[in-house]
Amino acid sequence: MGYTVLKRGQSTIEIAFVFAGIVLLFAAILHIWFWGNKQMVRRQQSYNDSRVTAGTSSDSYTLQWPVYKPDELTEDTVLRNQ
Amino acid sequence: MFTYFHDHKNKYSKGQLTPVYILILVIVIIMAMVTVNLSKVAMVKTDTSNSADAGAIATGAIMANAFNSAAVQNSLMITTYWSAYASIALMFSYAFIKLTMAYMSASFALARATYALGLQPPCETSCAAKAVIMATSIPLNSAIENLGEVVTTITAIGVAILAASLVQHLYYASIRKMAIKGRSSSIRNGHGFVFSNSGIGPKLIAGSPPDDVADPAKKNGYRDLYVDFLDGIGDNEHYNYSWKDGRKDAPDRSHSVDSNVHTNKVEDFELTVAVLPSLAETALLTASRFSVTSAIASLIKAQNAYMLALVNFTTACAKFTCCNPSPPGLVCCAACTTAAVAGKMALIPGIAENSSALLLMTVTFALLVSALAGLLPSPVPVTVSGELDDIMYFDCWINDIKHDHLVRVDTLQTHQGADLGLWKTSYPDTASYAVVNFSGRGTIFPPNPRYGSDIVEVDSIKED
Repeated sequence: MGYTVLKRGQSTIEIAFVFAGIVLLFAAILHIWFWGNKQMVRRQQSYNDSRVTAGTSSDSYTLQWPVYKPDELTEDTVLRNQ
Repeated sequence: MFTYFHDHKNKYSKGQLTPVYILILVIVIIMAMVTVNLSKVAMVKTDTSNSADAGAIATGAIMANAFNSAAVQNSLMITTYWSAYASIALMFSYAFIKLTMAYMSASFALARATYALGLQPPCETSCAAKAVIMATSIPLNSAIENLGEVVTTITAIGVAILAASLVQHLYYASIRKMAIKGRSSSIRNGHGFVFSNSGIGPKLIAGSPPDDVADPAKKNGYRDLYVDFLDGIGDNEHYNYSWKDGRKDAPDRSHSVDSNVHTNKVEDFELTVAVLPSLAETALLTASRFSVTSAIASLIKAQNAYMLALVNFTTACAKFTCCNPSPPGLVCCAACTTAAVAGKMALIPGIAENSSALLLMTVTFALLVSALAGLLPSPVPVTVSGELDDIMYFDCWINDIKHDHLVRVDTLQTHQGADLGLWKTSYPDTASYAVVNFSGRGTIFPPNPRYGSDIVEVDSIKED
């Protein structure tokens, strides 16, 4: 009986840990997803901002390459969405 | 699986996390679909932006090309004008020289006639008067001959001005037609670039629609009809291509792409024209021709009068040889005096006609100078709107083609979402526009074919 209780307790702790891991992992996935979607919008904005410069032959404009550089995907972004 | 768990939920402790995983899987699938949807919206936005930019640049480039061609043609028009002006000025110079020569000859004749008129006493000076009047014959003939050449030259000047004016008009008309055609071509090509860059092609099914497809929108879902549509694009400002997905296994979704290409019409041309309108120029030349012809007529009348005077002076001179104090000699003296006086009387209308001819020549000179000055470029340009509106003027060159040098292309894409049962996708109407200025550094006058197509404004995306 005592062994069973111990085993169940261990399982509960393991599940709690695993669950916490899953939640953390899922949160990280969500943050990466948000980051990815945000990059899509940012990329579109950067592209749009480059249209006038790209469409002119005037010497006074110089197109800066790369037009779009994705934001860095850091630990803070993944873990804290910052 | 769920039934299995339900039936054995009291027997097994395995699979308790499965619902959690299933939930996560569903969430991940939803996330993936949202991402796919978002990327599709971004892709359509890129397509509309690309097509608006490409259409605007293409339209602007062709407009710039039309304006550059107009500038090049205008430089030829300017050269032709100055060449014609130089040739006509030479002809005028010839007329001036001949007119001056005629004037000098007629003045000489007038001086001689006036001198002969003043010789006193009439009988005693009749032989001298005869000699003097005889000397008017050659200058008068020369004056008449020179004036005859002036008449011919004025006629030739009139023809030359008419020909040059016609050539200049044809230049203007040809440049005008080319610019108008250029605009049509730019709009047509602008639409072509809008549709070619709108991403329609890959969305359509290759080939022609099967015979059993009756719905026109579904027929448009086949690429061959899209190619036909592209071939049929004209110079209207707006075109639309709509289609429905034709695949049997695909949902029946509608799609639409609109293209709107706008650039102002090429209508008003600012022309630099000659100071005098063609009609005034013709009137001046006609008047000068009439004036010269009248001068010739006056000189002929003067010549006739001088001839009559010469006959009288010759008679008087012959009678003068027998004029002496004896009775028969006195008869001779009387006849001599009568003839000499008749000669002088005949001289008076001749002198009047001769003077009149000189006055007419002065008037002709003034008229010809005005006509030559009237062909110079006027500092005040005129604006014409039609192909024949310039017919009243002698066109020198095109000063400018009135246009704001702007092209605006708007494009709109509408794509119906898919109904996947639990999940319904929808896409917002996506629009883009681009404004191109094709001024570059070009000018029609002075001709500088450096028009160029530059995007100056596009729609903006604001982050919400």
